Amino acid sequence: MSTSADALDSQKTAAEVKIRVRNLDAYYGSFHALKNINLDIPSRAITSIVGPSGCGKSTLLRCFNRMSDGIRGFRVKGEIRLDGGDILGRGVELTQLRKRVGMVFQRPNPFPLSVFENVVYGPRVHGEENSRLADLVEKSLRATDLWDDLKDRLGQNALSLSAEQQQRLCISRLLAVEPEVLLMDEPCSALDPFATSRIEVLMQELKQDYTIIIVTHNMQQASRASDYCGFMWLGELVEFADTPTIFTKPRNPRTEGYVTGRFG
Amino acid sequence: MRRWIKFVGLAFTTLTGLACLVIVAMLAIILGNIAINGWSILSWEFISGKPRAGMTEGGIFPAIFGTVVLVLLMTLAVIPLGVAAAIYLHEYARQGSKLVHVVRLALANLAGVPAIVFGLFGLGFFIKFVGAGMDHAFFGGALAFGQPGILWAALTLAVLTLPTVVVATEEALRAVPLSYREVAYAAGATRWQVVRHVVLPQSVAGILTGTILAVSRGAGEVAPIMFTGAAYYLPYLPKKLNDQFMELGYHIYVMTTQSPDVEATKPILYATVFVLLVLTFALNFLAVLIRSRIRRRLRTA
Repeated sequence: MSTSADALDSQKTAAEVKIRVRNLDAYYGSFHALKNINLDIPSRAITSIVGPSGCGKSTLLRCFNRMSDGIRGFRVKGEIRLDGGDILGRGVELTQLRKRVGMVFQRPNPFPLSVFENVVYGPRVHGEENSRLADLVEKSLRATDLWDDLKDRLGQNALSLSAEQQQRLCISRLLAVEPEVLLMDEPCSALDPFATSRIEVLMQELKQDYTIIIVTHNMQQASRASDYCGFMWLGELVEFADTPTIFTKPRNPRTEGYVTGRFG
Repeated sequence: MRRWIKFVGLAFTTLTGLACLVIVAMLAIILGNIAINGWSILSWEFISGKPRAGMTEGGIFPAIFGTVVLVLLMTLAVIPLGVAAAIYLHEYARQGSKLVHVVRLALANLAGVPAIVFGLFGLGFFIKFVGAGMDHAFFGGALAFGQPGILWAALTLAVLTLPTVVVATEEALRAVPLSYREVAYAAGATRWQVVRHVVLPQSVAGILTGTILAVSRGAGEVAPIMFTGAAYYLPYLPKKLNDQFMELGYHIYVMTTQSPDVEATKPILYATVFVLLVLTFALNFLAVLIRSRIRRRLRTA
């Protein structure tokens, strides 16, 4: 029941497409991890990808910034286009791709450096001028609502912050390189429910400017916090639609079984 | 039955504890013996003077000087090479590749080669091949580098310490969490930027500690320098890279085996061993100091 490439191409989507995935297959050695994925990720919206462990959702996410390139035996076939431009080709500059497509990881992982040094890490890597750094830090910390708390403690070691603040800082660190797409791999799994809901509010603010793709185990989070939702199962994208449809009128019985908690 | 089990438990505790005690006791006996017998001979004259009367009188300054210069030269040679090799192995090379396998195998075997073989290797390779080649090419065949000298001795020691430095550096690199590298790559950093700004700053304390320990281990080796530059007795200090030199370990060996008057040499021998141990411990202490300092700095950064 997974959508075919032709069907997607002929479909008239209201939203502007940021990332276009066509006939994507991925392998770890002989293991077929992603099977013929076809997907249009809308611009400036939150797209969630759900599914049981090992279904390939993280693998798919890591294709968008090619983080799996270094893994031995990993291969991809097919096409991924960011704003129409191919990102899987050999000639693609990974540093430039990753500047446009940033990633937030499961566990908050600030460097054991000061708050300031954490935020400016990315801009420095991309050769940003020193005179702009202070502005970037303020802008990036404001975007994650950390500025008022931390503006007087920019020199403090980031590891001394709370888990939620650390994760916000990691998002700030990402925003400082001025990306277009934010990939989030279970960004709240190490946080308590209150911190989780505050990060979800933050995501709603961020989607005004960024395209967000979030991988999550948490069904409630997907239904609350995303605009579009894809359900993956054993390497296939079983169903993709706007989130209310997935959760109230799924077309595929497996999707229905999963989102209603009958298995998973 | 219960009593038997209790007895076995008690016996095992006693045996393992005794094993630890033996280790501590041995170290205490060695250090105590040397300290008691060596301390009384130590004086400024002993440390700053030259050996006299067939090494039955006088001091050991030339040997201390030679040891320090030798260790410095060796460190200069082994650290860049060892650290660079470790960075390549751990950060650049594809893990599990043939090349990595071959290099690791080579290192493991190099670490197992007896020290005396390194001495012969130094003589054959550095002196007879490289040195003689240099003489032929730059000095018109006159004898300059084709003879034992402090440079060749230092390089021979560097080859001996190389595996330890590589392993210690790799250990330090491994201690940097993968997630830091992942974040840096995800931010668009190149491999060099990840190494330079994430991996090296995080591992410099471990690298320094490991390499200093490796170097202090090598500093006490005698066999590799016997044929490559250490001298029995010299009235002058080494001034050029191809000069021979006196060295504490070798001096101890010479005084033990070649002394014309064993009883007269004995106190000097004790004091010399004492000085060598103090120098080695000082290096180890320096390693610990650097580690704790850098750790503290990272924590409060």
